[in-house]
Amino acid sequence: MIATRYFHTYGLSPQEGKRIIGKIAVKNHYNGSLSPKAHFHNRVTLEQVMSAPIIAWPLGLFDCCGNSDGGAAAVLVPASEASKYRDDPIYIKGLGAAHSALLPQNRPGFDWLHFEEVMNSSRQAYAQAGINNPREQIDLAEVHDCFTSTELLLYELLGFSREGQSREDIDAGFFELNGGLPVNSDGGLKCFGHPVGASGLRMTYEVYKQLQDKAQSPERQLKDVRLGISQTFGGPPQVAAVAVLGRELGYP
Amino acid sequence: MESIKDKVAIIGMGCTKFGERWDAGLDDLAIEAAYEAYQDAGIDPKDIQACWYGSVTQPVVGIGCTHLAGPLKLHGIPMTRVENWCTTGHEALRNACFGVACGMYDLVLALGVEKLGYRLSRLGCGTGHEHGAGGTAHCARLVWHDCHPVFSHLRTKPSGG
Repeated sequence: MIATRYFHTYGLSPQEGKRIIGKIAVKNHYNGSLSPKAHFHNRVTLEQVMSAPIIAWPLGLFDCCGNSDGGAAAVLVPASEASKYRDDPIYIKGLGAAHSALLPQNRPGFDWLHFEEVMNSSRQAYAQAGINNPREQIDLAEVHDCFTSTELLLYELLGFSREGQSREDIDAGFFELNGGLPVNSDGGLKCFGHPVGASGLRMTYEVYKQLQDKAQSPERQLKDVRLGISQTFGGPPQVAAVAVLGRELGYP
Repeated sequence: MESIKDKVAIIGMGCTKFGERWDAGLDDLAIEAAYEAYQDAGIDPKDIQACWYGSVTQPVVGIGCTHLAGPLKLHGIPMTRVENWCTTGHEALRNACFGVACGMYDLVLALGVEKLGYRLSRLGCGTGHEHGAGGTAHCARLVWHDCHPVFSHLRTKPSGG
């Protein structure tokens, strides 16, 4: 629904739409190939993605995330005590979560492109953190790419791209490892995998390691990262959450 | 509404290898993630004062955290299980942060674990992980047996779990 409505609303032909979301799959598989703990380590080409068996049109096999086992954990302390434990603690900057009271299909006039739970949760988290320009201020993001079309829409709902402009940013490589705002640098749900209850913490683990300059290998370590977010979106869908993390007290 | 900004810090994190983990049960994954986080933080697991744990399907709903209290040896402290669809891991993190931010706790664990590959039908009762110290298999077997009689034979129940 998201993919077809997005294609229709912004005038993308089915082929062009599949090409755009296919590039997200290629990116996330590339990133996952560099992540030692990812479920999948295979890189894919755009041709492979576009010719893969259809799961639910227009989404093919490589547009859908991994069905994985896994776990992730965090140890938390008051910020005032963090330096007793390590030199490079990572600080919580904002925590947002929101429900929508209605199933998407029951929302009057719903256009399938404006999920309020995503916008409300990110608005809360950004306000707490002091983010007013997510595209410029956020240095890396882990977002809920259960399907490539979801990641496409999230770029806009989270304020990384203007509405209908994700295509330009994707073609410019803006969300790739060496782009302006790397998204899903560990491969995302798509390639790292999606053990449902663990995913929010797995994303946070990636942000934490990147902010500490401790990504497992130099080729996937992002440069000059100070602020990152992890974001999940789920249910029918009807729920969403965002965590903002930073490596310096008082920033931004 | 107040802000959580700069009130709570993460001092350690862990993450298991993701994938079809035929080698590990739910408890093994929890131990793997938690002990990497403890090691990263340089803390003794005994210092953990509270735990928020998120899982959507595993091993079943309605049994709280008892199935992980044993494997993680979290004895004498509160454990809270949270579930909220795909945001479950964030819910564990969020609520753990609030537990610290309100001044109640100084050192807490947020944990998210899931086995999706083959729910409940495998021999998911521990693999003798060193941190499990033998209690793992016993605990898991108790849980299996308590949930459904078929589980005690380490088989999938008729509806598929």
